[in-house]
Amino acid sequence: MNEKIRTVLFTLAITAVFVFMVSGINSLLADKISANRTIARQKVILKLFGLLPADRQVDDTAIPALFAAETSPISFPSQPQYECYRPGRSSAKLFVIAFKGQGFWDNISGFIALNLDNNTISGLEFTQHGETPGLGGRISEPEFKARFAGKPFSTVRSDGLRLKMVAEGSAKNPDEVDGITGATGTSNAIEKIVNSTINNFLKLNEGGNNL
Amino acid sequence: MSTGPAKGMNALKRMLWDENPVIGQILGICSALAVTNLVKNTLVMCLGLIFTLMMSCLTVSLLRNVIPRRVRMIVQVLVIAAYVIFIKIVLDAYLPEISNELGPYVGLIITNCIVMGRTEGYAMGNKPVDAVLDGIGAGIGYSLVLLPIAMIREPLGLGTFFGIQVLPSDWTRWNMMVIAPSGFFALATFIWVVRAFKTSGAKR
Repeated sequence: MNEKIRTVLFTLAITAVFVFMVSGINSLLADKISANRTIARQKVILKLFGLLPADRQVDDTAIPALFAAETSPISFPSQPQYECYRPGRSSAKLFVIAFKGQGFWDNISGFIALNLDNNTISGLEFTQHGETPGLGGRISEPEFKARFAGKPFSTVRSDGLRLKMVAEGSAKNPDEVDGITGATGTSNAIEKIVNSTINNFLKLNEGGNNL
Repeated sequence: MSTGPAKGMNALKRMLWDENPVIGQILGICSALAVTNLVKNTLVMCLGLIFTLMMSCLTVSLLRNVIPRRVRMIVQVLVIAAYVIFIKIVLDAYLPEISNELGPYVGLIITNCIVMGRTEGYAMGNKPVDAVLDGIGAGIGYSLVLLPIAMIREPLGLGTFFGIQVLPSDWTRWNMMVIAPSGFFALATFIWVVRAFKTSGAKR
């Protein structure tokens, strides 16, 4: 057989074999992969509602049922893509809101929990970020996320922000949050994301009239 | 060094020390820099590379007499990419958290020069058994360099080992150790020390 034709046929054949193999494995495991992603998100939301304390071990397979029972999604007609949840079994005005914004390197996305009974942040979790490990990457450490817990957001500062990120260790007023030394870009990005997420939610909610 | 390619267990052993792909050939550097700030990620990366090397070398060696010379590199990349995608899918399905942390680095095994180097340099001209041993050897050789570096970087940079706190909590973290530049320093120092040791041994 002509050498050139053999080469082309061989390349086509081996490509077909491997494409078939890879797509076969992909379709076998695709359901499991998307279930894993859903579970990971649901875990974050449940954690923000305080339903997954560290001493409570819940098997991953039990997460979707727990999520369905304990949370109820809220939709705003003006923003159909908006993702927001409230507790399924209590009337507490606790809202978990999805956010996404530009970080220093990559998009930062996650969820923030707002308590409208006393107008404070009750928690913050990140589901995805690409910040520098050891510097901006510290945002995913529990200690950093805890800096937001209990911060009031009802008043607007003179600079237009509800919460300001300040130099690490210098937060004195309730409307200030410690930033990260060596990661000013990340700290500024988080400040912007948190403030705009809160502003947007309060606007949609119009002082609680909608809910 | 004997003439002709090493066979059998020799193909594996020489990769661990004499012809270690990282120390001797300075291959696989980018991933060595990127993942060695956490021992757990390094371990998964090493296992992934050993698997990819083993399977790619086996496949390429089995096909070595039918692959047209002209397209052999394309075929090698195809084989390597298929196995790496396989690893990525399996990690996503069964170890989603580690997969998430490793991010793009699993996919970058495809471009790890060690894999291409072993398939082109050895598997294309040797029997499957030897090729598999050679591949496993190169993978273990790579791990023998990466794991010690990770074991230095993670405790110094984060105060943890395998995610468990080992140094006192008032330990001042060397942020430098976690970011890429320290990977250069750690890797270069490691290679320097090992090579100095090797040459002094050879002189004796």
